[in-house]
Amino acid sequence: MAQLCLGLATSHLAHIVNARALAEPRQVAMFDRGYERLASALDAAAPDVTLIVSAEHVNKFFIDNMPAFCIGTFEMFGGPFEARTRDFGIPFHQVPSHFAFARYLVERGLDEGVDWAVTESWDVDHGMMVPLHKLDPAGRHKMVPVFINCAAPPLPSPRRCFAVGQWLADAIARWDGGKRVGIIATGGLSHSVGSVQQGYIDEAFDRRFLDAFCAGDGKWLAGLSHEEIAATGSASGEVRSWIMLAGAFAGRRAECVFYEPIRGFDTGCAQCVVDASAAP
Amino acid sequence: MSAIRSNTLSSSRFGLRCDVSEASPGSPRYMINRVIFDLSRAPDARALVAKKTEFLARYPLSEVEKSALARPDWTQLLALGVLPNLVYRYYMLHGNAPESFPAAIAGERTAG
Repeated sequence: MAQLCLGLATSHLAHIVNARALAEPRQVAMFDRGYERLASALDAAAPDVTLIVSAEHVNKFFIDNMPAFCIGTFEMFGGPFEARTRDFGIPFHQVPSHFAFARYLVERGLDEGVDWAVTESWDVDHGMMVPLHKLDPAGRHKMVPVFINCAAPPLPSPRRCFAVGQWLADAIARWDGGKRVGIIATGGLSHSVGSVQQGYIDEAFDRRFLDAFCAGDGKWLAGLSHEEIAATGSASGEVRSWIMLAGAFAGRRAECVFYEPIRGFDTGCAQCVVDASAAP
Repeated sequence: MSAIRSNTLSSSRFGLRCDVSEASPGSPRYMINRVIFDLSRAPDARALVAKKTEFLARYPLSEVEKSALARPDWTQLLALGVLPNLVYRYYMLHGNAPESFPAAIAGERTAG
């Protein structure tokens, strides 16, 4: 039986590595310290494998074949995709993964009502590579990438994302070998990219969302509507990764390590650690 | 047939991963999104943007779509169903600073 040993959640915007001067130095320093706190938690938990759950920004997945959810099944993946064609602040590099675990999740899911799409080759974008660069720059932790469509409506509902998170926890618990498994959710909070709302941050929504997330209030998180989330920004749909994480740790409390509406980054930036040892 | 062959050759010349001549018409938003998706994945994307009229001619776009892409008109692109992430990427492919996007689209709306 495997153990779900850690949950981390963080915004994933690339500005923290390649456009730091846009924000107030105080906020950048606090965001960095938050990443350090999350990195320490990751090292301390020492998972055998970690799921990293994120949106993707129409770099690999396109509307000619858009899954709601996808798992990367391989022993290694690359990224950031953006660094293939330009200086991105992080060099393109490889990250170790865990084929057997990813394949296990796919096979169990296809038998139990979670119809994962599968990719066996994936240059992931900043949604995963920026957090990994900050949390594990040496690539010591095995990561299995999990995609949620947060960019090309129709999107999976918050209720479905929460349910898939619950299923993940159950499937992980049934995985053999006494392994330790972590989950990192990335994205959000409220922000817009490439829309008329860009620059708007819905701080009130962010704080309400964080209150619910930290209280383990899955009912509120899963009950959010597409419209409520979309009203806070064109890219705020990325909070679906946080909601999936909340489903996996259903009922457990989390610590809010950092939240600031960083105007220079056009994003409500947040970081949380889920206490996996506490009883739900 | 000759038109199809022409598109095929052009697609190859532009280094695209797919042959647009074989694409079905798709949804109303499909082809205009496809243009930017293909463009942004091309190794020489910036160079292609510099001669985009030629590039756009390879796709079966409406005049409204061609105009929005050629000017470019960010507000109109969104209205035509281009995904915001792709609008933003197209904006940057024109050599614009990412942080200047809010002012650019606000200026359009004011002018419009």
